[in-house]
This record gives sequence, C-alpha cells and structure tokens, in this order.
Amino acid sequence: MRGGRRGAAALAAIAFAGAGIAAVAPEWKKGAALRRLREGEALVLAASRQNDAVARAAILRDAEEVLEEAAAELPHDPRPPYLLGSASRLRGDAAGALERYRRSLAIEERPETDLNLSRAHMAAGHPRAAEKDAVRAVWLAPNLLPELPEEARIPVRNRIWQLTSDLKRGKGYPPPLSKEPKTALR
Amino acid sequence: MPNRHARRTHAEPRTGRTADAIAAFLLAAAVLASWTAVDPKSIDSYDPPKAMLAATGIALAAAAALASRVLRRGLEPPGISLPAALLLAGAAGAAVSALASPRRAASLDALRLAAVFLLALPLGASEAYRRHRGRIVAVFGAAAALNGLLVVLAAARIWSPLVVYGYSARSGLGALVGNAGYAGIALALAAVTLLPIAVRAGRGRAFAIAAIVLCGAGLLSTQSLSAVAVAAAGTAVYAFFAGSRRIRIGVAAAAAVILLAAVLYRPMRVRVARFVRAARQGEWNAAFTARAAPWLAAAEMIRAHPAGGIGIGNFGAEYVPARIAAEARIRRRLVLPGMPTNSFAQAHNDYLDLFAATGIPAGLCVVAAFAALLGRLVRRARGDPSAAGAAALLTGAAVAAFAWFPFQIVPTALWILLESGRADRAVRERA
Repeated sequence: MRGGRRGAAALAAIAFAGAGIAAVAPEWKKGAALRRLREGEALVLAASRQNDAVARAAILRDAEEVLEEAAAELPHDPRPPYLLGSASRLRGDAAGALERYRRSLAIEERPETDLNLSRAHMAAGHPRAAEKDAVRAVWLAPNLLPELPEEARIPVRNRIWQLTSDLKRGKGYPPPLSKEPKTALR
Repeated sequence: MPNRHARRTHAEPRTGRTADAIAAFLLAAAVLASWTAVDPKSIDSYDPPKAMLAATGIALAAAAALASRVLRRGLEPPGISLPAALLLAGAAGAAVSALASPRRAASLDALRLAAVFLLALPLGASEAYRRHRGRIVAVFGAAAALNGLLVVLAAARIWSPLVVYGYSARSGLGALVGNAGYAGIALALAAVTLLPIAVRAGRGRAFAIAAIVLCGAGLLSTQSLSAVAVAAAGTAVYAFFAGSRRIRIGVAAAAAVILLAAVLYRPMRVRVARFVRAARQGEWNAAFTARAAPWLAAAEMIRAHPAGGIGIGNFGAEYVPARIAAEARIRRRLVLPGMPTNSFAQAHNDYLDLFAATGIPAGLCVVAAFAALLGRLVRRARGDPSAAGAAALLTGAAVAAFAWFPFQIVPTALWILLESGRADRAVRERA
C-alpha cells in the first residue's frame, strides 16, 4: 500500500513537474528574446547616429537579424516590428518601413508608431497620409508634437484644436489613422 | 512565525515531510524572486524576469506539494469550498473568453501564465505551506524590507542599485520592484501581512517590527497615495477585528506615527496637496494621475463585449481604439499634458480589467469568489487573529485593486493568492 502510494506520488510529481515546465518554458524563451530586443534597439539607435553609410548598413544588418529573432519569439509584442520598421526607414526603404510599422500597429497601436508611420509616409511621398498619422500621434500623446518637423507643428496643433473643439460640440470624432488596424471593438 | 511550543505538542504526520520541505524551499525562492529578480540586459528589466522565475518556482513547488498530498492521502480528491468553486467557474469563463477572443493566440499565451500563477492558491492551502509558512513569511518580509530600504535610499539620493531614466523624480523610486506605484502597493501589503506578527508576543516579533518600519518608510518615500490607503485599510481591519485593547492601541500608535511622518515628509505633502487641489477643481483625471483614460477605455471594452470580454492579456492591444471610442462618447480628449506615456497595458483597476478581459459573467464569478472568502474571514475574524490578519490583507488588496492592479504585479499577486489559499483552507477546517 505504502509502496503503491510512493510510486503514485513520484509519478504524479514527475507528470505535474513536466507539465509545469512545459507551461513555463515559453517565459524563458521570452526572457532571452527580450534581451535580444534590447540589443536590437541599441543597434538601431547606434545606426541612427552613424554618419558613414557603409558602417550604418552593416549595423542595420546586425540589428535586423537580432530583431527578426526577437520577433519570432515575441509574436504579440509590437516593439520588434516597430524597431524593424525604423531599421527599414534608416536604410531608406520607405515601403518596407510602412509594412513593418503596420505589422506593429496590428499588434498594438502606440503613439510613437503612428509618428514613425507618418515619417515613413512622408519618405514614401504620401503627404496627406503623413499628416493624418501625425495628427493621430499627437492627439494620443501631446508630448510628441516637438518630434515633428518644425513646419508641420503649427498645422498639426491647429488641426487638433479644431478636432477638440468639434468633439466638445458633438460635431466631430477623434482623428483616425490613414489606414485603421483591426480591433476587437468593431 | 511558527510557535516552538506548538510545534512540540502538535503531533504532525511524518509522511511527505521531504516533499513538503522541497515545495516550501521552491516557494520561498519564488517569493524572493518575485521581489528581487531584475535583468538589466532585458528591454523589460523588471516584470518578465520576476514572472519567469516565480512561475517556475510555483510550478515545481506545486509538483512537490502534489507528491506530498498523494503520499498522505493517495488519490483522494480535495474538497472544494464555495469560493474555490466560484473561482473555477470564473477561470473556465476566462478560458472560453480567451478561445473566443479576436486575439486568441495572445490571450491563450496570457492565460497559460495566469494558470501557473493560480497554482499558488492550492499551494497556499497545502500542507507544505502550513508547515513552513513561518520561514516563507520571513523570506517575504526580508525581501519587502530590502525593497523598502532601497526606496528610502533612492529617495534620499544616497544610493540606488540601478539607474532609472524617467520623467519625474518618482521614476527612480521603484527599488527592485521596478515602479514607484508597484513598490508602494507591494510594501503596503507586506506591512499589513507582518502586522499580526508584530503586535503579538512571540518569535519573529522584533524582525516583523523592523520590517514594518522599513516597509512603512519605503511606502511613504514612494509618495503613493494608493499605498497609504491600502496600508490604512488593512491596518484598520486588523485593529478592528484583532480583539485586545492593547493591540488596538499599538496599531493606532503605529498609524499615528505613519500619519505624522507623511505630514512631515515634504514630497508626500506636496502630492496630497496636488490631489486635493485637482479634486476640488473637479479635475478627476488629474487627481487620479490620468487614470480616467484607461478606466473609460476598459468600460468601452466591456460595452463592446459584455458577455465574453476581449480575452485576458489584450488590454494594451485594444487600449487606443477603446480610448478613441471613449473620447467620442464623452466628447472630451483624454490626455494629461506632461504625461510621458499615453499607452496603458493595464486598466489600473483590477475589477474593470477583469470584466473587460473575461466578460461580466466570468468576472462576477471571480469577484464573488473573493467576496465570499473575505466574508467568511470577516465572520471568523473576532477572536481569531489569523483570520483577522488574512481579512486585513485581502481588504488591502481589494482597496488596491481600485486604482492599481495588485493581481497583476508579480510580488503582490503571488502573495495574495498564496494567503487566499491558506485562508480558504483555514476557514474550511474550522467550519
């Protein structure tokens, strides 16, 4: 009887520990991916400060490699595609940047992503979309206004004043993005 | 703290002692990690390492505790109380909501980690926790006191283990917990946990008093008004129920000292004055440091999916669309100038977060489970210091959940769940 219980206890513990480890293992992978994400962020920042085109391209290649690895382990984190978008933008690939920023927005919209989407639109030659996304970014986070090019600040601020006033009078709606991502709310 | 005399006279079954010791050791490691684990090389240095290590400790401790139970009772199924049954119903609802969520993969991922943390409930009710709680509380108290000390040192600009870049002076006051608000809430709940040990003669009293002093100094240094409210609520409940006049006088004296320190500590005074000024002007969003946006966004999520919710772990992903919908509804832009971030990963109210994530029926089951446990504890609290202590902790957690998310902050979530499991077992055994 006692031996039977011991065997059952050992089996139960082993089975439960195995299931527990399987449930926790993705957290360990995420931990490693979050380290890679930090490394990728530092590389993108270093590339943005690098004036030499060849050196910049080499840093961006490393950054993209590290960030793609992080993105694979963190499919629900908007930061890897966001940083990949910034790497594309620094490479001068506006279309790639737009695609990656939109991928980030599909996971979670953040004001800084809207701002960079606006920058990518501007680089791709879409000024109207760029303005729309800049307005949305500053609407969500007013502290982003100084990040806009000087000539864009006053028009964006005026547009937000107008939208705020329309909203108060019940005649308007908060500004949309140039292309709205999917949401569970609709 | 266990009583030596009680240990000698109380006949304890020897079966499963090794498994219990292993479970307790792993649990103590999880508790320690929940307060102290930091990975400076990670992009998220504070929460993920704590969650990862604590979850690992919980999962392995649960396996050892299960072995102990099988050794003692074979495969006999455990009894289930009303709070446990309600919680299971809520958990089943949360699982259905995750499966039906438009962001199913993300929700199932969050559910997996939540399920591991929920094992802290049966662990709290386990023989391992009953036998070794004193040691685990000692680890908990020491880790909390260390964080309290670190907050005080950082507030006095003497020393901080990590350099934190932030928009305000409070940004660097999170100690190893990571955020001044989290640290304040965690320190408040730690102080409430240690209170029953500090006010009664016995082993560990001096340690508990010293830890409470450090936690109290730390929570005042964080300048968190919510933390003060949590500590006050927990302390009041304990003082009310704990019985003896001497205890009430002791608790009242401690509360008076904390209040006096809060009045004398200038940053706290300034923060209270700012809150009062904003509230008088009717600027509730400013008074509650921009919480109107996440609260109203959560309300929009509940409105959109009242039955099934949006799935746990999806608040951050749905926050901006929900905020925009809330702005359109109330005809007002929901920003606070000067706030560095306008993204929220939590609703800053665990009740709203729960209803938004799981839907109203499952959310009600979970709230009812908590309320049922708290109600049973309150009924037994007079003349039962252990029940009074548990009622004080759960009341503190319930208060904290109005403006913060103690069930999502690793050190507080683990501790509340463990102590809830323990309280549920105690109530069942005394019934």
